[in-house]
Amino acid sequence: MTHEQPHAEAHGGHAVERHVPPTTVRQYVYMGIFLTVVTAVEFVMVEMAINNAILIPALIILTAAKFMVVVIWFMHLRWDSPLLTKLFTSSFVLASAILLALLALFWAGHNDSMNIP
Amino acid sequence: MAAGTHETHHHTSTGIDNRKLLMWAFLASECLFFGALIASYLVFQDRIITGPTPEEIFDIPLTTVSTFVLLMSSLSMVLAVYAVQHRQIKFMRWMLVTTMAMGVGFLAIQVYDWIHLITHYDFKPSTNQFGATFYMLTGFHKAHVIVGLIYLGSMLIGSMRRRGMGDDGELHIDLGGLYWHFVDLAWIVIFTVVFLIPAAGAIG
Repeated sequence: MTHEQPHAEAHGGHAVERHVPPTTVRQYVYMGIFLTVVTAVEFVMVEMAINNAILIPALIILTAAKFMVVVIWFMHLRWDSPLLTKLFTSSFVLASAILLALLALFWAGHNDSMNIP
Repeated sequence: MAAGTHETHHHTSTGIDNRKLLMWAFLASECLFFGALIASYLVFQDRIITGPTPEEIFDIPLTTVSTFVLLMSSLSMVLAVYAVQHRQIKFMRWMLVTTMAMGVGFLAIQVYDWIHLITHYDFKPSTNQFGATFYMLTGFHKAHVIVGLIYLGSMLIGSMRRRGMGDDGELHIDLGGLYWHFVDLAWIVIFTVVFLIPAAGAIG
């Protein structure tokens, strides 16, 4: 890589890197099985009508696990430039914050309107 | 090709191919787009004056099957990317065809579900605010799946040309894979937030 440096500097940038993730087909298949099992667990939990105090956090955790597998391994963020991770994470956090702010705003208003005699 | 890092001859200020950076910037904006749609659904889904409620009409087993189909399409898509990175073009084509077939299967199940909701429950976008936001959110997701199918179809046709996909074929498949995985990501969230949690009667 070092012999590329002067050439890169002459162009005022960095050489574009192409990554080939070391993941094997077998590992990808295991991840597919994991996604299937987690989805099945979510379905069974909803069908069993578990207490919502347990069900909702469990569903959120399982959904986050599936989300992370797809983003980190299927979309190869683990091996790509950290800049891409920052770009996607920042927009996801912003979207989540907007969603929570809207819910707080409208649910508060909704409850207030319910209290009007 | 051995696993590791390879360099091409062109340079950018970030060290990332501009087309890949553009795709990630687009996907980042899509996060905000779907975030706004999901927020509007959650705000309005329990403000029902007339018509059915979510827990009365959702077919969770059918939606779970469609979720499984879309997740498996993501697996076949990542295998297509793996194949092109390892110069296994025939395997890549089969994986692209498999991904597209499962995408069509997902759409077929979703369209069946829509028809079932309309014919059995008279649940339309105009029924109530829950209907309007539900059809808007799932409709936009279906539109993304259709765009993805066209995108993957164009790459499949491109790979069958005599000249192949050119020097950047690997990058094109990678970008198509990123888009398809994002469609899957959006559905992972929609499945839980729109279908599972309301079906459990947890909201509203």
